[in-house]
Amino acid sequence: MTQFHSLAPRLTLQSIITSRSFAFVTISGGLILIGMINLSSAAVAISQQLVFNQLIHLTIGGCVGGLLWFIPLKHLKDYAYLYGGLSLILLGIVLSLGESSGGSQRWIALSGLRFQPSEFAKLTAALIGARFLSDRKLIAAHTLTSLSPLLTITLIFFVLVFKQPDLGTAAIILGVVLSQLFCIPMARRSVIISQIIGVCGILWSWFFLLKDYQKQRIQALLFPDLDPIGSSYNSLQSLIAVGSGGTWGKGFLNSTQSHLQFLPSHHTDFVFSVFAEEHGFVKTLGLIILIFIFLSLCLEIARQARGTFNTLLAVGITASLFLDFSINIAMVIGVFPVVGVPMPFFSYGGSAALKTIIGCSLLLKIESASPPHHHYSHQPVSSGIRQ
Amino acid sequence: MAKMTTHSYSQSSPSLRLEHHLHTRIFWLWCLLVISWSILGIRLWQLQIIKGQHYRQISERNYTRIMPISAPRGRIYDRHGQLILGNRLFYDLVIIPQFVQDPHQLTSHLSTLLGLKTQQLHALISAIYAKPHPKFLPITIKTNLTHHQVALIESAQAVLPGVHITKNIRRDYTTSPPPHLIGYVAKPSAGRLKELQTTSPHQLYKPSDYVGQYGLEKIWDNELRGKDGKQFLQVDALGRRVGDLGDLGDVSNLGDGGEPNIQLNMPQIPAISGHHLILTLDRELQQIATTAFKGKTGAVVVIDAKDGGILAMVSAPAYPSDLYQSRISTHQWQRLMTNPNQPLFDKTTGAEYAPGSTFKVILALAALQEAIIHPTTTINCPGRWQLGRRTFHCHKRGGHGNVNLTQALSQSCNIYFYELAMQLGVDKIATYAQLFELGQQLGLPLNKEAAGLIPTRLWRSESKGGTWYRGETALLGVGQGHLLITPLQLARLYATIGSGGWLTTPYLVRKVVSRLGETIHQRSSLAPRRIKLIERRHFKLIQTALLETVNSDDGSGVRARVGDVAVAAKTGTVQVVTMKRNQDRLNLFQPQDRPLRTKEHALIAAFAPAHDAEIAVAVVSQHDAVGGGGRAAAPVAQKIIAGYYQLKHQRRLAQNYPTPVSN
Repeated sequence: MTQFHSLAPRLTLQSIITSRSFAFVTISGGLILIGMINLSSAAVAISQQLVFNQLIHLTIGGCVGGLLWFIPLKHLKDYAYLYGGLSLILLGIVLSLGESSGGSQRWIALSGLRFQPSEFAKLTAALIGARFLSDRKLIAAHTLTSLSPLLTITLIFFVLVFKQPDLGTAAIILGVVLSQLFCIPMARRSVIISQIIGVCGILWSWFFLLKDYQKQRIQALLFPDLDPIGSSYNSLQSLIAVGSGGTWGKGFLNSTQSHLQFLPSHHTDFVFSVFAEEHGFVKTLGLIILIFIFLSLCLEIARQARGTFNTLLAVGITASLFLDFSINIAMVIGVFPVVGVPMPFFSYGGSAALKTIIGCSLLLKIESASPPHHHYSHQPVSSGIRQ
Repeated sequence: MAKMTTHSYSQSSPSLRLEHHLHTRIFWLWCLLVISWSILGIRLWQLQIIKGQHYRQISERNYTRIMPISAPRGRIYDRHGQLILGNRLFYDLVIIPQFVQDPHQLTSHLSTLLGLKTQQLHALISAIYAKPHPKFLPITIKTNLTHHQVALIESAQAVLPGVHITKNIRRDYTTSPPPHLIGYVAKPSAGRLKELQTTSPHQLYKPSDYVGQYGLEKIWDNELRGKDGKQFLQVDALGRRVGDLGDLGDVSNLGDGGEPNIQLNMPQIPAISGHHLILTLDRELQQIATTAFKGKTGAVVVIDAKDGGILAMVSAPAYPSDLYQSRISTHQWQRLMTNPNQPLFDKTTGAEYAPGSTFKVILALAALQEAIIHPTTTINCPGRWQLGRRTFHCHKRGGHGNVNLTQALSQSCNIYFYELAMQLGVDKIATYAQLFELGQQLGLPLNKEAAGLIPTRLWRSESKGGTWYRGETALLGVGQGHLLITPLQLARLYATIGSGGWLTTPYLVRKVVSRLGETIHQRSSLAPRRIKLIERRHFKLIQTALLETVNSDDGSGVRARVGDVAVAAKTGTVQVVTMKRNQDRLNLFQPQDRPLRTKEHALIAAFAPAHDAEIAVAVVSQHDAVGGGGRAAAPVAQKIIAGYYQLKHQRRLAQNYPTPVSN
């Protein structure tokens, strides 16, 4: 009773509305809603069955997210390597006997349900990174030597996903771990060496690692008008879709580019172009700002999280969301090469929806585990960041 | 804050320092977020605001295709505003590949419904599928369906996805227009298409267009063809037509779930009909002439003697006018091509015949003008005439006795004109013939026009070599030898004689009128020119003589007599081929045709009334089985002239007593 009494002042309506959890849930819900409405337009040229399917995906995601609520974060921390190992095994299975779709093997069929282990690899990579970096409470900065186990595991993840081949997801997994590494203190020498290695790695991968079509996509980005039918077809059609939206858009359900099927994958990777074409600059900018607020909230959750593990896990999840959003939108509006990265909340796809919802519920869990309100309640929500 | 963090970092506990470090780094991550989202925003602004219009246009081009709507050709009217050639609706069977589900099933269904051969249809359809072809464009399988076939197809629509009946406006030949005159339309050959594109670059010709290929349709193609319209179609990325099918009807069999549901209002530019032609022709007289000449081979030309306007033109045998539009069979085509009577050839302007006795008027006029004879001069005709070792016969073996000019013309005495020819000489004859512009093209823009031939000594030495024989001069007297004349020239020659020496220029198109009734072209009437070298009284004399030909009982043209009309005429009978000399040529003909080939050409040239001619008629009947000019050709001229006056009478009555208007 006393405990309940002590909790009581925190449960006023005002405290709920101004709480970060509430804002986070509201914005996530808003994005899901907008995403579903947009998908229903994108699905017109394919089948309304997609909308129904996506609702099922979201429901499953909600159930899994709900179950996660009952698992303490400590459990995740303790078994992080187990989940990481499972994830690696699944990726290995995909490579050896996965179903191929659109020229690459990203799918694994489990009794009729197809899912993409690489999507979940983004989360498990965040889990492993958070676990590894929070394990050693080092006062002295990390060095490349001390980080080598994590780097090795990350490289294995990267290679397995890259081999599918899925450059976009592989890059995001790398980005998730890099964002976590960025947050922890590191020896100056290691930073310089890793930067050199990074630059060399990019150059090396351009000349020896990337496949021709991947290079073509990058070239198509730089010179989109050179070859409108060939490699940059998707990119150009996407630009046409977005650009033709103009200031106010063509109106809901009036996307000609997607409904007349000029734009491939308009329900998955290019779903954002449908939104931009139908709603125009004003609303699209509004959506982008909403996503910005959402990601800022994620970072704030990370900043306020209790303990290094929680913080780094939140950073990792936020990084994966950030990279998904930014790479996808950048690809749609032609500032990034065409890579198979879905847009969270918007793209059709079970694995991506599941991963996004699990990620969000983990963030919510971290938020709920963060120190009580009085720690920040006298400050504006994002004051820690805006300085 | 950043500074403060660094400050506290050096003093605080390790965990607190780590926490501060994390917070700082998260702040940097947030900065990265701000930067990247700014880039996205700027790029979005650039795409949608700055280049929005540009991309809007591209997206419209993406889904817009153009289907031409062919314009109806202009109509052709006669001088009284009666329709000679118009258009009507035809039903065609088309398939639209985007809706066809099973080409094999389609073939079998269609072949049973339309009674087409499966193999033929199958070859046709597989050929279509082999070619790259926009999927939304209909492909014509069969044209000119009957109403019964249309009903069959429409009732079977459910099992024939992708099959449609289209309505197309094409030439309607049920008015039975004169085929050679009107000509025909056909899809142009590659060569003709290229020629058309170079001669009229502003007109867009497509291989699928029906283009005038012969006759008036060809000469006036630019005026008749009109301007095609455009139907803008909405297509999807696979080139399939989306939404409204307009005239093609039935949208019910559009696909199910996969069908894009977006429909835009696509504009349409309507086709503009071509200009109409108003001819000098008289439709009813044309029909009379056609009927009168039925069964004969050759040509009839009827012209207005006052201004040269052509009233009727028949070239026989005829070909079916719709030979290209209705896709005649190869067998029919073969028969048209190999027919010795050349149905595809326009004989009115293109065929050259020896004028025979119809040429005698030239000699008579020349001799009168040269004062070689007087109207009263008589020459004795004993029935035979000697020139060197060669004997020439008159067609009347017993001879005409003493004949003057009038008698010689009306009874067509050959001896009289042998004499005249010898006295005039070849070059004098040619000079007078050339006064009438014989031996040169009349410049009637229609089909290929022959020049005819008026021989001279010079011509003999230049083209044939050798010298001119006296016997050849004698033959000129009876219009044979090397002389050649076209039916149109013959009619015009007699129009000139009938009008007392006025040369007119034959023409056919009086006016070109736009679909709104504005006059586009009007023939600037070329004033007739008078032949000043021949005195008027000589013409009068000839007119009288030709009147005698018809109206005196022993005249050769009595069969051309028309009640109370003063018809003047000259008959002609030309012996063309004899069995022995032309055996090789005769072998070309079918055995049953062979005896006919030995028959003479029957000619008549007439005008009425005799002293102030309104119309002139020329009839040339090749190898006429009935007989010579007087027997075979004169009745034809008689029917035409009688018909002309009857029509004139009827029209005058109709004018005087107009139909009362009620109210």
